[in-house]
Amino acid sequence: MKDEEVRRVLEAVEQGHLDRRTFVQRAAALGVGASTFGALAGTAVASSGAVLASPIPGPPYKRGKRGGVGSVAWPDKTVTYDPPLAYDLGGYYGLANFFRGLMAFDGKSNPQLDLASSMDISGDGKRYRFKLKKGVTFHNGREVTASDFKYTFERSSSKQIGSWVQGFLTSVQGHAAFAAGKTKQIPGIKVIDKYTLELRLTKPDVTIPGVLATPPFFVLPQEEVKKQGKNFTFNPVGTGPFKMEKWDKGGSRYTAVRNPDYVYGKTLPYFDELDWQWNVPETLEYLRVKSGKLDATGGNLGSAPSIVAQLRASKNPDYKEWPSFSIQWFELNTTQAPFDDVRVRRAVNYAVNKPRLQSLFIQPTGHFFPPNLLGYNPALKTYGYDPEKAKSLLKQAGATGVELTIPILDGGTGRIEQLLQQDLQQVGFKVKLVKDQASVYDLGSKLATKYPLWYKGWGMGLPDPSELVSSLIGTGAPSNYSGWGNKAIDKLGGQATAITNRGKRGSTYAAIEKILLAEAPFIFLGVSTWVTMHSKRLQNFVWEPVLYEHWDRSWAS
Amino acid sequence: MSTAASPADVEEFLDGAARARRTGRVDPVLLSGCVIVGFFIVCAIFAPWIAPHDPDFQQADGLNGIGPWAPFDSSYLLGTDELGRDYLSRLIYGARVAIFIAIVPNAIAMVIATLVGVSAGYFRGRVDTILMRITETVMVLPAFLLALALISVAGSGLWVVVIALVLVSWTYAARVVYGEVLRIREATFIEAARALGASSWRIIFRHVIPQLRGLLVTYFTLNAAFMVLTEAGLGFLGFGIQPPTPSWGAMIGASRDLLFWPWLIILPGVCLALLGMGFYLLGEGLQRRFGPRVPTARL
Repeated sequence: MKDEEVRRVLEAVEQGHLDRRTFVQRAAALGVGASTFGALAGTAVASSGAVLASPIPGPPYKRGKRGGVGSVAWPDKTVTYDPPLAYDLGGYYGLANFFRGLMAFDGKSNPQLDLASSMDISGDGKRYRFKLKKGVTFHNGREVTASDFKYTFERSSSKQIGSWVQGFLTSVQGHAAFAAGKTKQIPGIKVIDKYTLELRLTKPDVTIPGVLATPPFFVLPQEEVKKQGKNFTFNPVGTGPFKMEKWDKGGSRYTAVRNPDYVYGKTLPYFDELDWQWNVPETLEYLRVKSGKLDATGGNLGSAPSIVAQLRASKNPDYKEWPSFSIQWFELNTTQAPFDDVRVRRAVNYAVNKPRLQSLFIQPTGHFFPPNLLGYNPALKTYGYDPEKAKSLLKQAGATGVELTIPILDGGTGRIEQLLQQDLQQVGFKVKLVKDQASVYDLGSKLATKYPLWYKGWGMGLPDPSELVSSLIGTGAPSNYSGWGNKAIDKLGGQATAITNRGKRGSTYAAIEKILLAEAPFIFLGVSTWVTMHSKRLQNFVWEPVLYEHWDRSWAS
Repeated sequence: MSTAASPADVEEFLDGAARARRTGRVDPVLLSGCVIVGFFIVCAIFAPWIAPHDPDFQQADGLNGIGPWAPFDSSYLLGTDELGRDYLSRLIYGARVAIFIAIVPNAIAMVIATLVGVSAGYFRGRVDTILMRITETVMVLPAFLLALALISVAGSGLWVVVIALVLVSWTYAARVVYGEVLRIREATFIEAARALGASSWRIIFRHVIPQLRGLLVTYFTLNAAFMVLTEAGLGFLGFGIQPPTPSWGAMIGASRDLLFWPWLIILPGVCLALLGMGFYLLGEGLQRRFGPRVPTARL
């Protein structure tokens, strides 16, 4: 009986059905150590026990059918494939087609071992040692070594590349000097031997496995990056399940073919070919999927609300709504009046008619943290819809009849800006909307010189609240354009990455969000509902909330 | 190259006028143009009294749970848009923008065209060469792309759109006026005025421009359709009037991803088609009445 249960747990682990916690819990319940399970499963287990054991990480993959062409289309104008520089959805989502890393997410945003055969964490949490799987090759046939990972991690952290993930490895020894361009390498990234890599940290950092599961840290062959220069973005060479076959820029599509030497090549991928298209608006995506000319919609169909309303009403089984880590908010320019006054910031939060946001497929949580994120505390007090309270706060602050100009950025529809315009006018602001063709991230810190507030969306690449602190809310964080900062948040954020106890860590981030809500540097809206649709023939389509898809394990019936 | 009216055009003009006088009947083309354009002008002027709701206000009951109300499904006669605003009211107020665009930038363009065309045609010589080469240079630039480029640089907004429309539309009228002035300046009454010692400006304002009235009115009307449709095109691409001000082109553009709520596209589309047709019929009717022919190919 016990053997049968062990076998079932192992099978579940192998298929990626079990996360780490459940795995350890079940192992303990059966009286079998995690290391025994690991040995049975054929994977190594670290001394600290913090390892996931699965021959192929990610969502379930068995029972697929080999062959055929899978196709997907994206609304993006361009697509780029240099991992630390890919920012467009069609590019970022597709990175896992061409590249793999030490770790990978499992379909539920939990990191698992991928090209690493083991991860050993020292007792003090300040050293991560990874053993690489042997015989893994790049698309050019060369074997992957630990030096390739060192090169990749340093490239993604470098000043020259200026990636959005530049600050993700700040806990590694020597990272700060390297990121500032003062040194030529990061001494904390150590190549022990051909198949062993070590990260030495200045303090414990539990986010490391998740960071290494994000595509910008997927391994690159140095010689190909140097040889191709800027063209690398169109000729990605990695270790992923597909190899670039033909890049058709004019036709806004590429064809990728099955990589027979893929690390899981005996089983995956199922498709012989991938047809990846971009520059396709959501409406066309929908029509093509419906007519069977396309297998899946890319991006979020939620931005075309009539289609989603129709799909919901018709109870179409081929569409799916996914919980996302895609945060929506208005950022307030706190460097000048009227939003330098916390009472005004709170007032505008009370002014927003949050239930109405649902018509734009925004789940109006009123929080900054998405509900599925560590640290989300539903008990925290958020701003309800209370225009009278807003008026009263504005009166106290002496901010009545203030004129505001809100930009509609990046060719947006302006729907959410118009919702806000009406709400703010109801409490006494005079609001004008102007179109600005630049995107929020193009303008960056220039926004604060032009506008009092602006709409912002952020799809999390690392499913951990540390990303929010280091990228969006920390003082001077790279994508914090509000000019706002809070020392207590900076301090707690610095401490939180070193807390190994998950519950305690969650409480620390909840404390951070509590300060954030009280200080209100943003108008808190909620998270997007992510909507996808696929053809009837496409099987096992899995959308990962942290922005990648698992095309290696989808197949056509 | 002269674009002066040919003898055939003059014949047609005389025949049309003579026919109208003979029968004493109103030209049906002119009448239908007047009715359609008149209808929209009335809507534009009396919008605050005709429109049942504030066109910009997102009504509390403006959405039905899965989206906007369809026409005739609720108290909102022509339904609501995706933000819950009364669509009939937005269409009525949209007429204000359309009529404004048909008149204001059009009138400014006509003034510029008249000044340029008359100066070049009357004074000839270096003035003619300079003004007509400038006109032709602007003329060869694709009008719509030029407007887009101007708005991209200057930023969108009502007056930026007006300026862009003026800059792309005065040239055609200037060429037509120029051709007509070349013909008029050779007329015997101009020769007589000169012989009597009238100054050039007196001749221009007292004898040349009054001769252009029919041409300008006709061209103004035909150009109005161009203005309305160009603004709609700009609005469709998101370069027109700023939201939430209702503009038919922008309403279509904002609804292009709303496939299953077709009234949001069809209704402003019908309004645009009707008004464009109305101006065209009016222009055609005026042309038949007053002649001579003006180029309409770009419409």
